Order: sequence, then structure tokens, then C-alpha cells
Amino acid sequence: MPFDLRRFPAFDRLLQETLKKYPLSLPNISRLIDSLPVNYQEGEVYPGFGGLQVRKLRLPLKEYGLGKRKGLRLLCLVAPEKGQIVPLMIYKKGEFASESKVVAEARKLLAALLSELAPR
Amino acid sequence: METKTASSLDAEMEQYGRELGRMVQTRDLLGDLLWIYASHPGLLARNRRLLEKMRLLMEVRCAACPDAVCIARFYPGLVAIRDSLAAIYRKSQQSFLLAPLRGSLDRLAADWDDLVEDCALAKDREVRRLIFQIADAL
Repeated sequence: MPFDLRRFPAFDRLLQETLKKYPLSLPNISRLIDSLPVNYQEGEVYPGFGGLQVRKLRLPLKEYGLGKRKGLRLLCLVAPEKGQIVPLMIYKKGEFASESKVVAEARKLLAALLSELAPR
Repeated sequence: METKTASSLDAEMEQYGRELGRMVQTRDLLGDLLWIYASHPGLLARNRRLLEKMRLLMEVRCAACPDAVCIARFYPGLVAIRDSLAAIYRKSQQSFLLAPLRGSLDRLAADWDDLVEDCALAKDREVRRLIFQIADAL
């Protein structure tokens, strides 16, 4: 099934911010994100989302000698019924001190994405 | 069948967690450190097996699971294993005798940390609610 990639400004801002320290990796990571409609089955699947798929990909920062384990985490939403893939969140592994901080950041970012999607 | 699989995985994780806990408690004595060395290959093999089972469980249940109750059930055990592995890794940083194990312990701790992060996100009600809302609004 062909998917359309839907990128939101909040995600792109986060991508720029996350890669500030790793500018050489920006083209490569952007290319990987653009290829999501083809590689949508990659990554770990989160349970409990019914017909939706929430996946997490581990992306290396090869230009800085960082493999997948120490690289970036990209969370994306695959919505088959809508034929869309949405990158939701990206962060560097170890950027947050604990999983509760990752969750807090995810809440903030998802709320921002939602407000861009359905402006009040 | 699925319940049986989950129960045996539960038990396996609990036992693994207990053994890691014993490793964390070891003193910085040659005998204890040698025990860690002797346990290391088994640790790697069991770790890989457990991680694979957990990931498979998450993927297989993905379509059917109406919420994240299954994840919440495993979550404390996952955190305990991750924390123990991180503690053993820190131990290896303090003892030069354990230095050769540092790389593999770091990798083990990182893999479990990823799993803990995934589960923390997947079971968070607010995150789930927002994701469903985004999907609806697309």
C-alpha cells in the first residue's frame, strides 16, 4: 500500500534542534525520514494501537561514529486507513535522563502536532 | 496459549531479574568477579532470548490489544532488569578486572533501556490519547 509522508512544522523544528550538535548527519537523516513511505515496516511496533501502527526506528549518526544504539530514536505513526505516515518525535538516545522525561516530552510534542493539525 | 506464554515470560524475567540482582550485590573480590565472568556468556544468551520474546510479544499482540494493560504488567520487571544491568555496568567501570565486559554490558543495558522507553511511551494514557486524536484528524 502506498503511503504519503506528512511532516509537520513542529516535527521539523525538533529535527533541526536535535541535529544542531550533529549537522553533518542532517542530510542523511532527512533522507531516511523521506524514505519512510517505502520503509514503513521497519522498527519496533508499539502494542495496543489497534489498526494504527506506532513504530520506533533507531537511526545511526554514522558521520559521528555513533551506531543505532547510541543514535537517534524516531517515533512515527502509520495510519493505513488514511494512507499516511507521520513522523511524531525524534530525539537522541540519552538526551533525556529518564523514560519519564521522554514521556513528558512526547506529550508536549504530540499536543503541538495536534494543534498544527487542527488549529483552533 | 497466549496467557501461558505471558506467564512463562513473566517467570523467566523474574528469575533473570533475581540473578542480575545477585550480580549487583557482589563484592569487589576476585571470587565474585570471577563468578560474573563465568556467568557472562549465559547472561548474553538469556538476555538475547528474553529481549526477542518481549519484542515478539509486543508485535504479536499489537493488532489485538485494545489498550496497554499487557505492557503495564511487564513494565516493573523490565525496569528492574534495566536498572540491574546499568548497576552491573557501573560496577564494571569501577573495577579494571571487569573492564573487558564493559562493552557488552553497556549494549545490554542500552537494549533494555530502549525496551523500557518503548513500554513507558506505549502505556502512557496521555500519549495514547494524543496519538489517536492525531490519527483521527489526519
